Amino acid sequence: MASSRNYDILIKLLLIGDSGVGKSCLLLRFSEDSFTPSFITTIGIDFKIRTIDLDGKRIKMQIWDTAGQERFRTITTAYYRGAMGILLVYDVTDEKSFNNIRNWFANVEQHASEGVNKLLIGNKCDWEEKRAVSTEQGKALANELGIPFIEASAKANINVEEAFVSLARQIKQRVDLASEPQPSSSGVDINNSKSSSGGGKCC
Amino acid sequence: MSATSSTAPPDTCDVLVYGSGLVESIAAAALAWQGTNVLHLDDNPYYGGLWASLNLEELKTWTDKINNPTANDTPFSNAYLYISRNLDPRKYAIDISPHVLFTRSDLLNLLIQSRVSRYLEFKPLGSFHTFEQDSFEKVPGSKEDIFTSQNLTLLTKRSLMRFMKFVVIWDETPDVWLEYKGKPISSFLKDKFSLDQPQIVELVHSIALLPSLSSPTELALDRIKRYLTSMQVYGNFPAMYSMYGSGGEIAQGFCRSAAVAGAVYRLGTKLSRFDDESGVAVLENGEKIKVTEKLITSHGLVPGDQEITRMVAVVEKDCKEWFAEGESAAIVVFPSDTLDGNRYAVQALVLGSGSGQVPTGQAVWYLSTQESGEQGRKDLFLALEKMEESILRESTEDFEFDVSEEDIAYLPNGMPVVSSVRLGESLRNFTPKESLKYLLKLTYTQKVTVAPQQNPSSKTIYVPAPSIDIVYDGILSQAQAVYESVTGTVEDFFDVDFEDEDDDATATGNPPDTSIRDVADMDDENLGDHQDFDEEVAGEMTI
Repeated sequence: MASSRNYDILIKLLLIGDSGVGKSCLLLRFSEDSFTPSFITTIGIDFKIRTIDLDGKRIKMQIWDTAGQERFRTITTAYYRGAMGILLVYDVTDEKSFNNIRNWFANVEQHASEGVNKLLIGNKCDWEEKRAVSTEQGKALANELGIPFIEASAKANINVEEAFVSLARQIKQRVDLASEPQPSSSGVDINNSKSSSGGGKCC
Repeated sequence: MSATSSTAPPDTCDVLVYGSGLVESIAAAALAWQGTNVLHLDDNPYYGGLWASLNLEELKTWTDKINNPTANDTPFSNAYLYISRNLDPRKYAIDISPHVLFTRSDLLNLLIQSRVSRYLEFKPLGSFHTFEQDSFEKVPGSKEDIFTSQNLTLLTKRSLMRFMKFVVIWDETPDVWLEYKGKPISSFLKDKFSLDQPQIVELVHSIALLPSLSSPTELALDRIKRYLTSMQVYGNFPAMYSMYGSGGEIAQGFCRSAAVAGAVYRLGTKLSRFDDESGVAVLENGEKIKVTEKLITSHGLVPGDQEITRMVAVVEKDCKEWFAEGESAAIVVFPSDTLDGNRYAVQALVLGSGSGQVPTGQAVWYLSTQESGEQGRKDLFLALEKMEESILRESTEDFEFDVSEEDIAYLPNGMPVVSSVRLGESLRNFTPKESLKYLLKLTYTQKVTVAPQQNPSSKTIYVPAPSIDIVYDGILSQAQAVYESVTGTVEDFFDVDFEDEDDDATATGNPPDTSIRDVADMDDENLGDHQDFDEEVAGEMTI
C-alpha cells in the first residue's frame, strides 16, 4: 500500500492559539470549505487532510487541531512533535488572545522541532466594528517574532487559502533546500505487520 | 462529533479522573468515546503521573517531592539524584517507570484499534543480552541463533529445538506441563526437556524477563511463547519502545484521544477532598465539582509489603555496541546469583539517543530489581559496574581482534558469522584505559501498592500503580476493570466507528502491486528453507 501513495510531499501542520479564536473554523474552511458559527467549542476534530498542487508537486497537508486541550493549556507534548509548520492564531476582536500569542510562541519553541515554519494569523478580520487589534499591531508582533503575518476570516472566507498555501510553500522550499536526505527513521509502522497470521511459524 | 461548552471550567461531570497515568488515561479515553462526560485532572503540571517521563527540571522537583514524607502521595521514595553540571534540562526525558511493548500484546492491539498509535512513534528492540561469566552474551532468540551458536552442544541444541517447538503450542498441550502448574519453571525445563542451567537462565530471565527461576511454569511458558511469536511481526525483533518515554507517552496519546471525544483536561490541579456520599469534589483552589457517577483515582493507595529498587544512569557513550544494527535499544539481564549472590535478576533497559530521551552520543540505562533496601541498591551498583566495564571494553576502537577460521560459523546461505563467545573471552582479558562519564545518576525505591479497603457501593475506584514488570502485562485488563465498574460492561470498550480521516487507505483505487505479491511468494519459499534447515539439524542429531 505504501507504494501507491498519491502525493509527493506529506506535511504535518498544527493550529495553536487561545480557545475561541477560530482555529477549527479555519481548518474546516480550508479542508472542507465549510463554516460553522461559533459558541461551539470544537471537539471531535483530530486532524483533517487536504492535498494541493504546488509547483507541479502533490502536497498532502495533514492539519492537526488542538482537540480543546488549549483551553486549560494541557496540550500534549506529542502534539508538537513532527510538526513542519505551525499556524499561530489570534482573534482580532480579542486583545487577550493577541497578547497570549507570545506564550504560545514560547510553547512552540519549547516543544516543536527546530526550524519549524510558523505563520501568525489574525482571524475574524471581517468583523471591523469589533476589532481590538490593528493590522499594524499584528505586523509588529510578527516582526518581533520573526515570522510572516496574515489577517484572515474563516467566516467570510478571506485569506484562508492563502494562509495555508503560503505556509505549505515555505515548508516545501525548506524541504527542497535540505538537499541531504532526512536521516532514515528506523521507526516501526505498527499498522503494517509483516506476518499478520500465525507468528508461531517463524520460529 | 461536537458538543457545547463554555470557556468557564465545568462544575459537573459524570466521571472525574484524578491522575494521568497509563491505566486512568486508557479508561478516560474509553469512557469519553462511550459518551461519558469526563473531567480529567492531574496535580502535576505534566502528563503521566506515576508513569511520567521528566525533563531534568521536573526530575529535580519530583525527587524533592518523593523525599518529603508529608507531601509524598506516591509509591516512590528514597531518591538520590546526581546531575552533572551544564546539561540542557530539556534535552532529557527520564522515564520513572520504563516499559517495553512486545509486538504481540493486548495493549498494542488497543493502540491500533483506538488509533492512538498515530500519536506515537515506536522503535524496535531486538537485542537481549544475558550476563554470564563476566561478559554479555546475545540471547539466542531463534532457531537460526541456536543453529549458529558455537557454545551449545548438539545435545543442547536438540533439547532447545524440541522445547521451542513445544512452547509455541504449550497452551494446547496441557498434558506436558499441567503437573507443573504453579511450580518453578526451572524444574519443568530440567525434568521435561533436559535443559541445562545456562539455557534455563536465558529462557527465564532474558526471554521471559522474569525475576526468578522459580516463577510459575505457566507464566514463564506464556511469556517465552510471546517472545518467540513476537519475532518477525514487524521485523527481526520481538519488542518495541515508544519514543520520548514509555507509559507516560502512551498515556498522553490516550489523553488526546479522550480530548477528541470531548473529555476536558486540567493539569496542575489538585483535588483536596472528595465526598463519597454526595459525590462533591473540592479542588485546592476551592472550586467545587459535582461528580454524578464515579471518581477514578491513582491517589490514596496504601503501601503493600513488596518493594522495587530502581536506578537510572545517563552515560556519555552511545552504547551502540549493545544495539542491533539500525536500533537504539537493548535489554541486559543479570540472572540471579551473578552479582555476589543476588537473589533476584537485575534487568537493565539501555536506550540510545534514537529513543529521544538523551542527546546524541549518550545513552540512558534503566536498572531495576525486586530486591529491596540497601541490598537492592548494592545489587544495582554491582550491575552498573559490570555494564561500565563491558561498554568500555567493547567500545575501545584501537583494540584488534584476532579472529581465526575456527571462530567463524556459516549460515545455510553461506553468510559467515563470528562466534561472539570466543570474542567475549578474549575481550575479557582486556583492560580499558578510559573511564566512563556519568552525567546523571538516580536511585529510588518503589513500593508495591494496593487499593484501600472500601465499601462496595463507594463512588471511588482506585487504579493500581505501575508494577515492577518491564512489560505492559495486565494494563489493559486493569483499564477494562475500571471501565466496567463505571458502565457495567466491557463489551463496548473502545467500540468506536472512526470516521476515516486518513485517506491513505481510501484514496487510491490502484490494482494490487504485482511486485508485492512476488515478494510474498519469496517469503513463502524462505519459510520452506527454514523447514529444511530444521530437518537438517534434526537429521544431524540422530546420527
